[in-house]
Amino acid sequence: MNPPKPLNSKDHLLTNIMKNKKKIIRFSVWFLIFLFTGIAVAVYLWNKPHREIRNSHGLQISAAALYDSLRIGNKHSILTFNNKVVTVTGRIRKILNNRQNQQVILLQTSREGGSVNCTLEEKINSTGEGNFISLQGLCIGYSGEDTLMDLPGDVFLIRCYPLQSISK
Amino acid sequence: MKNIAISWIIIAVAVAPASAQEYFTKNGHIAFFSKTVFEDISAFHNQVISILNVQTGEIRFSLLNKAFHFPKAKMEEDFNDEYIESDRYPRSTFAGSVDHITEINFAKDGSWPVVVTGDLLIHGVIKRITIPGTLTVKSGQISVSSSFRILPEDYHIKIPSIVSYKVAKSIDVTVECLYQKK
Repeated sequence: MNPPKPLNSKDHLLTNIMKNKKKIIRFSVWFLIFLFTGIAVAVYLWNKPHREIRNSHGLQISAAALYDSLRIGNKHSILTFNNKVVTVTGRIRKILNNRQNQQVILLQTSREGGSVNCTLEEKINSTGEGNFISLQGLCIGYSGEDTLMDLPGDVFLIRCYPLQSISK
Repeated sequence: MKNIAISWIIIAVAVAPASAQEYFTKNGHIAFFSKTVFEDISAFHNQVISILNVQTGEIRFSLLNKAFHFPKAKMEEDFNDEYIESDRYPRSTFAGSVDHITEINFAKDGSWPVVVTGDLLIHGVIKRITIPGTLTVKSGQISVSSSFRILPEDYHIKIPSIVSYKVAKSIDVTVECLYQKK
C-alpha cells in the first residue's frame, strides 16, 4: 500500500475554502449590502430635490421691516433671515422681467430706491404696481449698496411664489 | 446775490451730467458652464448688481454667491460649502473700466466691441483680468454682454481629487446686463 500523498498548495487552498465557506458567504453578503447601501445613498444625495419653498413655513415679515433689519447688518438679523424661507408682504414698487423672462417684483421699503427684490418662479398677471402682495421665497441677503454712486442696496429673495395679492 | 445764483448754476451743471451718465441694474445675468467628458455643470444667477458710468467707462459688478442656481441641489450645496465657501466669502465682485468708451456714440443705436480691464474678486482672491465684450445701445437702453474663461485654481478654489475629473480646468462664464438710468 502506497503512503498518502502530501497535499500540494492548491489542495490546501481548496480545503481552506471548504472549511471557511460559511465565513466567505457571510462576508460576501455583508460586502454587497454595504456596497448597495452606499450606492443607494450616493444616488439619493445626488438626486435630492432643491429645498421646498412654496409649501414651507416662512418667517412672516413686512418688506420694510425685512429691509431695515438686513440693511443694518447685525449678526442676529443675518442669522434670522439669510438663507431662510421668508414670507414678505409689501406694496409693489415695480414689476420687471429678467433675461430669463422671470418676473421680478420690487417691494417698497422705507428707503427711496431700496427694495425687496423678489424673483418669481411663476408669473402672476393679476396684480400691478401699487398693489399689496405676499410672496414666499428664499432670502439671500442685502447687497448692492454703492456709496460712490449713491445707489441703495436691495434685499434679495429668490425662488419666490405668490401667496396673496391685495388690490390698492 | 447774483454771485450765489451763479455758483448754484455752476454746481448744478457740474453735478447733473455726472448722474445722467450713470446706469445700473440689480437683476443682471451671469452663467457659468463646465464641460468634461463625464459631466456638464451649469449654473446661473439673475440678481447681479452692475453699475456703468458711460462718461468715464467705470464698470462694477457684485453678486451674492448663494444665489447661483444649479440644476441639482447637491451641486449647489457643494458649490457653496466646498468650493466657493459662500459663508466665508459671500460676494464676488468685479471693478474695472471699459477701454475707449468715449468713442461710443450713446445717442445712436448700435453694437460696439469693447475691452474691459479690471479686478475680479472670487473666493477672497483678486486677479486682474482683461475680457472682451459687446456694448449695445437700442432705443436709448444700454446693455452689455461678455463671454470669457476663468481657472478655478487662479482663485484658490480646490476641487477634491475624487470629483476633479468631473469639473473642467477652465470655466466658461457669460454675462448679460440690461441697464437703466439712475
